[in-house]
Amino acid sequence: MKTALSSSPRTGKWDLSGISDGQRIGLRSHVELASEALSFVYRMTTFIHHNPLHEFEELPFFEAIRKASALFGGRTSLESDDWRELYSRGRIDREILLSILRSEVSGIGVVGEAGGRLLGRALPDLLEGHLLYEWDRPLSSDPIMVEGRPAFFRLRRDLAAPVRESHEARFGGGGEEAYCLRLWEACKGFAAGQLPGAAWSDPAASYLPRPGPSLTLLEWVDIFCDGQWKKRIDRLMIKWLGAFLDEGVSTWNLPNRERGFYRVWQSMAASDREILFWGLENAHAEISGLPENPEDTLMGALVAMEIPRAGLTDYLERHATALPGWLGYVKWRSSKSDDPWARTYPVDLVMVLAVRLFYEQAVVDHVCRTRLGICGTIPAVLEWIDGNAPELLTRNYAARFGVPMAWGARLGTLADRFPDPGDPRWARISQVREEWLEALRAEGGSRSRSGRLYHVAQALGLSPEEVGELDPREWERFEQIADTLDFPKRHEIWQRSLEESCDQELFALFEPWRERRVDPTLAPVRARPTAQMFFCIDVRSERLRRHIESLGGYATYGIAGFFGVPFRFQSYQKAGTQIQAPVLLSPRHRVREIPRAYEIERADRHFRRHQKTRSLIHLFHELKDHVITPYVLVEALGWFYLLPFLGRTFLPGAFARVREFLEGLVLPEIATALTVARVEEGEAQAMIEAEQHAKIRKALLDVVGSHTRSVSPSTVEEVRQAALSESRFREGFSLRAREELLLTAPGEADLIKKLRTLYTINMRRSRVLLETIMTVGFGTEEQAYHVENSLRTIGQTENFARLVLVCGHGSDSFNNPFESALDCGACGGNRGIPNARVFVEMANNPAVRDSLKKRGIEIPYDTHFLAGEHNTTTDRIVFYDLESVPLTHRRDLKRLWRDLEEAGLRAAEERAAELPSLDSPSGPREAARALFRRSCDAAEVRPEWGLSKNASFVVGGGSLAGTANFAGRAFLHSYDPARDPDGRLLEAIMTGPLVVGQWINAEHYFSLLDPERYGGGNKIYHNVAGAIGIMWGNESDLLPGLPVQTLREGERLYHEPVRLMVVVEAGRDRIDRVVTNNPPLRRLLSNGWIRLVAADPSDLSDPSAPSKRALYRWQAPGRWSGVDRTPLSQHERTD
Amino acid sequence: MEKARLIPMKKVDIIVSGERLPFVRDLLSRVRVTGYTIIPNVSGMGHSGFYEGNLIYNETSSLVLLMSVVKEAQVELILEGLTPLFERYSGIMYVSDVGVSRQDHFVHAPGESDGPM
Repeated sequence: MKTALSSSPRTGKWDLSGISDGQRIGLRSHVELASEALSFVYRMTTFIHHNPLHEFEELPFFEAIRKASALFGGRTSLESDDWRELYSRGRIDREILLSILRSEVSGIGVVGEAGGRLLGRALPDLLEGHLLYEWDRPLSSDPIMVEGRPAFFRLRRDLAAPVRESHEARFGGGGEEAYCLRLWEACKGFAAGQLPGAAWSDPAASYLPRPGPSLTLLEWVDIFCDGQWKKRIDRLMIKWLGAFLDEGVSTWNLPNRERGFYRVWQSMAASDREILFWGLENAHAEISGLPENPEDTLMGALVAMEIPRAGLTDYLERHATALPGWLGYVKWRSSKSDDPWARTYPVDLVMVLAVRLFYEQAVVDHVCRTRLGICGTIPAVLEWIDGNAPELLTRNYAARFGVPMAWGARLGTLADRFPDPGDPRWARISQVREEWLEALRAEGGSRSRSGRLYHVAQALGLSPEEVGELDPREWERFEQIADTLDFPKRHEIWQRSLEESCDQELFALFEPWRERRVDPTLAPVRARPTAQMFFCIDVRSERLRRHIESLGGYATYGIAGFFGVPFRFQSYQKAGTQIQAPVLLSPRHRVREIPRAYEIERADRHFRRHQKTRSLIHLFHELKDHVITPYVLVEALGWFYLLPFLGRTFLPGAFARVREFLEGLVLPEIATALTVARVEEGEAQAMIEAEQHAKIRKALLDVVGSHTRSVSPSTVEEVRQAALSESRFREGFSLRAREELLLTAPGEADLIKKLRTLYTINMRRSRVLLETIMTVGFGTEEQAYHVENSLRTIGQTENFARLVLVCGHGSDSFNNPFESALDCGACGGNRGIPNARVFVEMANNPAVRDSLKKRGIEIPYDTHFLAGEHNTTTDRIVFYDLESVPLTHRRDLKRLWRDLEEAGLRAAEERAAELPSLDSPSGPREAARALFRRSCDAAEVRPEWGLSKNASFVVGGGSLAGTANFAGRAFLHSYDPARDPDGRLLEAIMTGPLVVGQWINAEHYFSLLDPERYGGGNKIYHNVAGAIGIMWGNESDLLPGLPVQTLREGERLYHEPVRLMVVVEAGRDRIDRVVTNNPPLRRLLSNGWIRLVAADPSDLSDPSAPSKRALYRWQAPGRWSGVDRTPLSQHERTD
Repeated sequence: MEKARLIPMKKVDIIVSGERLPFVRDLLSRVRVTGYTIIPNVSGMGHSGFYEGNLIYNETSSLVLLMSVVKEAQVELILEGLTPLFERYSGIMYVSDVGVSRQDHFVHAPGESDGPM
């Protein structure tokens, strides 16, 4: 078994000619595996809500959090203050909390014994108290203990009032300090006298760090250097990555980026003198001699440090997860083969790790040689550790926890500045440390039993005498409980209680459905609804749907925001395409937005003005970035900028309207249409032919002369054929053509040559054009396929209304880097309106309707589909493509429009009440105005709450949700179990939109759990980096998640950290089949990332049926348990 | 008419999850295979359970089959690249003997460098 990577002899460190291709490929695989823990970080402009722990989904939920914490350094729990606040607000039901606590400690055998009392209190109170007061963790804001001993003798600040009073009654002469001292002495006496064994150990104090799979050499040498080297290397990597990945923000770009990250770095790093200041002259000199391939450099660095092959992947993983934001972005970028930036400026993880490990190897070599006197290789380091273990233990402890005060007293200045490694004074320092540990063990360390007793005695109001009279067995049982309910476990308990409390609230909303009976004697009268509306499943649609349905006669449906039609979209006058589909799909069709026929003239003018405006803006930016011109520019234009400045600051709403008006004057909006229908090959050929004819005529005028103006079409066609033929032009034209063209033979050859090259009339270009034209749009059968799938998935296949509104959504905000996060995630982070328009055009197409009829869906002749966009910031709906609405539907349209305005106002009022603002708007119109103002305000950090507070995903028909008020917390997907006999549609929903919903939920949860590692920090110090992502301040890791402002209202939580609760209206066996056949879904459920409840749509009219429909909770594949509704108890505040 | 000769080559079949597809494609292009065929949305049974296959709204969770005809020397490179992957993830790969009549179609012309990258 090879322990080293390459055993072939080498002449120099970077001479890697002995490396085989197989080893290079193998190394790439190792890097791929090492980067598995990284989750994609998407570009800021197409922000996708994703699960930052996506790669940990094969582990159970809480274990995944712990593992991710070990790898990324993220938190494993929310602040206890947050939980306490939720509890005191009544969000967590006390009964549920106590029942979960009881089940957790049931293994200890406390429950049911001694009448359920312990230490003089009822067991439930005791457990609740431990959860709230955290008797083994002193308040971080009130550290009365230091190193396990009281620093100041006083009572805890968070004691309940009656408890504090009972203590104060016993103060006596000495006051608080004497009393606490007595209490402490009693606790120490009790522990020493009654409790066998000292039972204190601090694993941290005896942890000997060894470089290997769980600790890189870089981190290890940092123990000797105050942790500065890792920071330096990180900063260096951020610098290079930020410069390379920039997309148009910087004025002065990194040159030659097309050669790839590694080659650019190699050529430019030789001029970067930063590492010289750190003393790495040797490394700096080596840079120009590095190999051409990044794999070779990576291999060279690994061999130089003698990293063993076993555990190589884990070692590389530690490096890859050092900057999860930037490297997650690189990982995402290198997986997108069609992105123009990724194609032009390639970068991948092998290149990045090659650079990083080169630096690591240089640093390790430098530090090891200068400070430790050994080579910078793992075997040498391990040997040094064996010889100097006490010194390393001491250094490690001091590096992680700081130098304890007790050492300073005995060591003097030695404690402030450690001597060099290997110095003989280390023997003394280690001795001091050993003695200090011994003393702590004897007296009690931070987790000492007497310390714990001290806290508990304070919280329970025990006097020093009562402490002395405690029953040691009871105390030991309490300690067992406290050990079981450790810090991560408490987070789990809190969370489960919160989730169950939210579940109870949710299930209460289904009560009407559970009892609804359909009278079998009454034949259902089929009346057409006034109008039907398809909304995205987004939680923000729920409010609007509820309000529009309450206005009567309307039926709304929820479907994933891309309406089942994935495509690449090229919007008007943009060069690139954007993907309008969830990231789970890679669409192959293209759709373009082109001006409508009647806009020919305006479109032309618009185009020219657009060009002029763009060049003016470009000129302005060039002037701004120049060295000298800003001085002049400020003088010349500064006064002009006062107007927008004052406008945006004091009158954002009015200013936005004025700006819109002026834009409309200069660049009026052009009515456009989307190229949905595919052009047949014959027609495409004809289009190309016509265009080439026009080009040839122009060419003839330019090249031959003005006498060709009256050339006949057949001549032009002959010329075209000659140009397109691949052979050299020999035969010459026909007689008639020659008469018209009046060219000599060489002139004819020259003409053909010019046509082929200058005017690009050649076979290759024709083929490319043909392909371009024919890949745009969808064929008729494809259109029918997509429409049929979408309609069947939501269960709407008959009884269509006269007007069906297909409503995408988007959001408006100003100066918001997270703008894309508020748009539609199912549309790839873009607005949903192109999908709506495409769907509508497909569904209105008569040929498609014919095809649908053959497939069993008959859409009546007078049903018209209409596209709209729901602006989620202002809750208004805008219609599109109104030209296509037939005149007969004018009244329906007007009615719909008015009702939507009304519903929008009501929804706005509801939402405005939840958004924090200085003045609370009264009435719907004021609320709408306030929301509009938020959408134009540059200083607004929270234009809307977005998807915050999402908690559930409901798959079912209209009767399941009914008129229930989900308060904007539920994803609602329509589904008709009766129309899905084999469960395929349910499978489509549960493997598609549900996964997207889970990502959204996970993103919010983890951004809340740890804003710095998984989230987006605070918006105040955000810095947009290279137009691709957001950094914190000057240089930091790219922030992958959502900012604190989206999740919290000041300090209070707004979003509740619950896992998605999925409610499916279907029989249990159908759901079981879907889950069994889809391992990714099964994994999510088994590992507890989502929770599932089946709402059994049984027929209640059957006499043998139960009195009301049942809900079943999924426990394991094939195992369900009934859900019983425990009534929510009145929350009794115990303090 | 001349009897058509069959020249022996190796065929590699790889079945992986859709999420691994970009990596496998990258690997194959680095090994310089002349082409491969992808069959998406395959169903099947394996150690991790039954996979349904054709999911309408999800292309990453279903299994994908890649087939490629390569020279024997390239098989080893592909193995080197895939072995670490299969240590961690589910999927299979097997090699079979096939015969092709147009060998030049499956091999890069001499003069083009045959090495990876």
